[in-house]
Amino acid sequence: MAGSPLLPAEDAPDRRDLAFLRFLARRLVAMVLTLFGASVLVFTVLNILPGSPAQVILGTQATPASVRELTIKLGLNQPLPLQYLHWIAGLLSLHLGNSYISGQPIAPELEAALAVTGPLVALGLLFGLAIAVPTGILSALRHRRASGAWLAAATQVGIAIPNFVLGILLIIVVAVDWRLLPASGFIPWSQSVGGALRSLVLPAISLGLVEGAILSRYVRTAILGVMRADYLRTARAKGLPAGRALVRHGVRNASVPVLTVLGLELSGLIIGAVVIEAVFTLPGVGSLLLSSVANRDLITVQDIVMLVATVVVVANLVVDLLYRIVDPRLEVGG
Amino acid sequence: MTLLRVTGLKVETGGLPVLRGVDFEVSAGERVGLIGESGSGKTVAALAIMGLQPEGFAVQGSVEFEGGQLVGLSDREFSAIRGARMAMVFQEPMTALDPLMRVGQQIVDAVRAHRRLSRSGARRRMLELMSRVGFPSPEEQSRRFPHQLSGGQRQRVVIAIALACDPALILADEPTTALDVTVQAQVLALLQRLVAEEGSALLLISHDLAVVSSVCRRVLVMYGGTLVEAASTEEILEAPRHPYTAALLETSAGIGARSQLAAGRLPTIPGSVPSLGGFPEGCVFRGRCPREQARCQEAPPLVGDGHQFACWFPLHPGSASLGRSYIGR
Repeated sequence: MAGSPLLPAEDAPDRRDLAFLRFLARRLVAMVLTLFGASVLVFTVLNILPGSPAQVILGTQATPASVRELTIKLGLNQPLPLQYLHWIAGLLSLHLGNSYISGQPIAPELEAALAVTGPLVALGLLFGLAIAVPTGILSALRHRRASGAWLAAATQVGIAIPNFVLGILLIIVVAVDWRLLPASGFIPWSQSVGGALRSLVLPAISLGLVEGAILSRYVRTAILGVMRADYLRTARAKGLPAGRALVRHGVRNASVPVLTVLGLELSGLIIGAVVIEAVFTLPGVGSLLLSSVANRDLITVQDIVMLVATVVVVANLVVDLLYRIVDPRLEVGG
Repeated sequence: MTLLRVTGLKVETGGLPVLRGVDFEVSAGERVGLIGESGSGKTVAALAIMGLQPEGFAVQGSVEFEGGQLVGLSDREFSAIRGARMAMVFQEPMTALDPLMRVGQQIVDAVRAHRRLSRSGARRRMLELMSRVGFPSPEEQSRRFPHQLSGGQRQRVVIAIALACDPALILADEPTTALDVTVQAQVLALLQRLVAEEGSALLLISHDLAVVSSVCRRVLVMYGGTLVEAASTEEILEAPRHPYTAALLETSAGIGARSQLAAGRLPTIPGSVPSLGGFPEGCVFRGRCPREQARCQEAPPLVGDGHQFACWFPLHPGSASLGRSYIGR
């Protein structure tokens, strides 16, 4: 809105709050619909796939009668919509159900896995940011010099390295050759916090480096954008030295595009975690997902996919809310 | 008293000349217009004086300001002068302000860049500046973001920023070009009034002769990175000597060539401004000039006392009709 002088330039605070609430309500509804769609999709796809859980549990030698009996016991003979409703109702009341395979409740198992994957993703993100922000800023500031070009090239290489290759490389060098950190496995938090952290360092680096390299490109572009912006020239015309002007106006303005990418990268990190957990044999959500898929433990798979979907959707909502804090132009409307 | 003395100012980028050696002076409190088509180098000249030329632009020559040499100063040394003694009003109020910062804060930043004022002192100064540039309720309007203001209001904020530390010289680069016609006159009048009140000198850059002639006593005409004519406003309007100035006059519908308009034709200068590096050797206006002769292959110097022009075959003084006949070609 190119602010015509006739329009009320600023809404009254209560009107602004109302607009914000309306925005929030709209986003929450959209979020619920997204998750509903995701649940239907996941459920349908998994139940169309061949291979009955009962058959897998009982093995190839099982008689058809025993398979049928187990199928009934697991409730898998009911019509699919009913099975779906049963599952969703459980999720809504926070009952994740029992594993088809072990018969044990899924929740504690998932919780234990989350205690590995949650910190792994968080550390990976932190590590990625720790790489991306300084290299991005530096390569933007030196974009006309050789050092900036080298830095940009290095991040390009970082993007090109698959995270599992980096993980294996780190295992060989840091864990096997130097014996600095464990190569695989996980020491539970309850046993030793330091030990748990130590077993997460290498996986987090493998996970974060690639994401950090990608993010670094965006940080560079964002900072370059600010450096070329007219308002930066205005700030320098006021008498702010170049560096101070960039800090004063760059941090906020550059964070807008970087936030967007950060939101998207979170899903990248979670997907990456599945692979990295396999490389480092960490008992995380990714490992649980892989073994559940192999065992046709459909309900566990469904629960995990829904959990990941929820995390991604919520993260995107948080990013959208942060936008509104950073950028006043997004006050009204969606 | 000479405030600004520009001598042999050259700007180059990638080996191409943007300014080819510009000489002029601005006295304290004087209002000077700098006029020319887009691409003539006006903006680059102003930015070079401020030391804000874009990356990859090399500045040579001399810019003396308040007795000190500006060319070659470090960013830090320049920062002490920018905003304090010399300030700039930019063309695009849409983009000249940080969209994520309240306008009041952007003015406060300008105040505090040079003045050791407390938070509340700087705020008081900001409110005073806002009311001086015509905000009826500065207290409330200072809390707005740029997108919540109209184009004219934004330009008032930019002017307030320029005035923040009472500079001796204000460079205004097309300050009204991006505004609605109705707002242009208001902003121009405001700028003129404030400059007069402060006793600041003004270098007003515009492609619009009408704008410049209403504000400035003296006019510099620029083309192809050189000054082609410099004289008092009346002399420029009534007795231009350089064919380019004459052609520019004809195209300013408000000033010349009503007969052309009556004939249903907008007067134009034949050809277009060449791209950078596409200017001819010798006189830069060669190729578009109706008076061109063999000698024009040699660049004419800016000569004359008081009324200066750079042309081997100038128009006769006082024969504005010559300028008009030029259009008939």
